Amino acid sequence: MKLLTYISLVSLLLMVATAGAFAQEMTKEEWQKQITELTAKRNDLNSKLSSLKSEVENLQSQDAAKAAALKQCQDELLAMTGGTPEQIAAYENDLKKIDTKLSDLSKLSNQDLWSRRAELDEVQGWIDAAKKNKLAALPKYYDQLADYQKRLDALKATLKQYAESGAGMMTYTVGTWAKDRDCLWNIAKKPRIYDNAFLWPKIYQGNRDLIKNADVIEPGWKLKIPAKAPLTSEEKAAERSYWNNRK
Amino acid sequence: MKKSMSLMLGALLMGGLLASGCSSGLSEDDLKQLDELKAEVTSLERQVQDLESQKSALQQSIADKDAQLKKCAEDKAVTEQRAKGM
Repeated sequence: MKLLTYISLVSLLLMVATAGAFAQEMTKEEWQKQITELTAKRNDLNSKLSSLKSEVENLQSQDAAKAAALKQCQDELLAMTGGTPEQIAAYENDLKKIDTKLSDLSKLSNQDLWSRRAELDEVQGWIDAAKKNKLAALPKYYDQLADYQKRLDALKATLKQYAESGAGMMTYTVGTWAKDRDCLWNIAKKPRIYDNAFLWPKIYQGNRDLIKNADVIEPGWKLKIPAKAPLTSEEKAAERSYWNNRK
Repeated sequence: MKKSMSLMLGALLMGGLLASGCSSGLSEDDLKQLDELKAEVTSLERQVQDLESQKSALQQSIADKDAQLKKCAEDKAVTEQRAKGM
C-alpha cells in the first residue's frame, strides 16, 4: 500500500518535470513573434544597406574628383616654377647634401668645428645657390632652406662664441723685428704655427682687437693663433682689403 | 489501495495533459526557417557595418583632400608672389 503511494508520487513528480521541460521549448507563438521581428529587422537592414551603398558610391566619386583636382593643383604649382621632374630630383639632391653636411657639422665638438669652419662658408654658398633657383619659391623648399639657414646660423654663432672665448686657441708672443724678424707673414711661416706664410690673414683676422694695421705688430703682444685651416671668406676679404690698401 | 490507485491515475492524467498541452508543435522546417532568417540578419548587419566603416574612411579622405586643396591654393598664391620677386 505504502509502496503504491510512493510510486504514485514519484510518477507525479516525473510528469510535472517532463511537462516543465516541454514548457521551456519555443511555442508556435514565440516562433511567429521572432520570425516577425527578424523579418522586420532584415527589411530595415536591407533598406539601410541600399542607402549606404548609394552613399558610398557617391563619396567614392567625390573622393576621386578631389584627388584629380589636387593633382591638377600640384601640377600647376610646379609649372609656376618651370621645374621638370629631373630638375626637381637634382634640386632635392642638392638640398639633401646641405642637410647631410649640416648634420655632420652639428655633431662636431667646438674645437673640431673651429678647425673645419671653412666648411660653414661652403655650406652658405650652397644655400645661397639653392635660394637663387626658381624651385626655391615653392613653399616646401622655401621652408626647408629657411630651416637650413637657421641651423647654419646657429653653428656660426657657436663658432663665434668659441672664437671669442679663445678656448683651445694657441697663442704666440711677438718678438722684436731685430731679433726674431716677427711679422704676420713670418709668424705664419713658422713650422710650429702654420708652416704656411699664406695663412697670415688668419692671425690678422683672429686678432683684429690688437692689430689695426697688418704691417704693424708690437713686441710683447700675445697673439691668438686660430687652428690651421683654409682661409675663410672673412679672412680672404681681410687679405684683399690689405692688398687694396697697399696699392 | 483504491485511494492510491486513483491518486496514481490522477497523476498520470495530469502529467499527460501538461505534456501534450505544452509541446511546441514546431516542425523542422519552421526551425530551419528561423535559423536561416537569423543568419541572414547577421550577415546583413556585418555588411552594414563594413559599409559604414567605408563611408567613414571616405569622409575622412575627402576632408584630408579638401585641406590639401586649400593648402595648394595658398601655396600657389605664395609661390606666384615669390617667383615674381626672383
